[in-house]
Amino acid sequence: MKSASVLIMFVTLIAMMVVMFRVSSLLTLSPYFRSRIWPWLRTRSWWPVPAERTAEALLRRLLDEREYESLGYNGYLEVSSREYPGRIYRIPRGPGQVQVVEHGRVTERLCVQPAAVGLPEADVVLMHKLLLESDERRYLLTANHFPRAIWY
Amino acid sequence: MGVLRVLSHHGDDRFEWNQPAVLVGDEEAQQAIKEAERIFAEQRARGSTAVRVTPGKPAERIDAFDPAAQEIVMIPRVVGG
Repeated sequence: MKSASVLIMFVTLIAMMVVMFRVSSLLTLSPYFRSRIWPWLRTRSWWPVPAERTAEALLRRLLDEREYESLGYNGYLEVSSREYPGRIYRIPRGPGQVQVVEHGRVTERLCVQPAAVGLPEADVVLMHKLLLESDERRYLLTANHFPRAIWY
Repeated sequence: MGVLRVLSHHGDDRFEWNQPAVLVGDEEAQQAIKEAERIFAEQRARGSTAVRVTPGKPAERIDAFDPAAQEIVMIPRVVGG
């Protein structure tokens, strides 16, 4: 009888751990958390990774209010092309490729990444924006181009 | 004040120089600007892209150090992924 109750407690504990793990994974990966909660946490003075705090502060300073709001709300930053009228580049916050949007429709995806690893997420967003604004042609030459995904 | 920022895994490393003090020949300010110029050249040699950032304007790529710039951001070398 005693061993049965111990077994039930053990199984309950494992089940609770699994549920907590699943919930925390869902929260961590959800776009809302990725684009709003994490960036907000990174700007706090107690955030334990100084590089992320610095990068987030720089991103916030170099984007205007509307751009930063839009990045938090949509999870991507839109940069208008200076070379191709009607074209917009959508830079994701976090992993993912830059989408090329023409007249409201995704036409292709671009993959450009820093050669060295370890650049904070906010710096990567800034990197795409500054490179697209300052030398769009070179950016397009550097990028690997992928066709749009079928679900867009 | 001029600022050179180098994006890195530290977030960004920043180097500042005092533009008005350089103009009046302040030695410390001139040393700071030489140091910023050296870092600029070093980063360029590693394949970094330098952009001049001015509030309210699109970023502008530069190939030579601009001591009059308010802010220069050095972006590490990028590759197609």
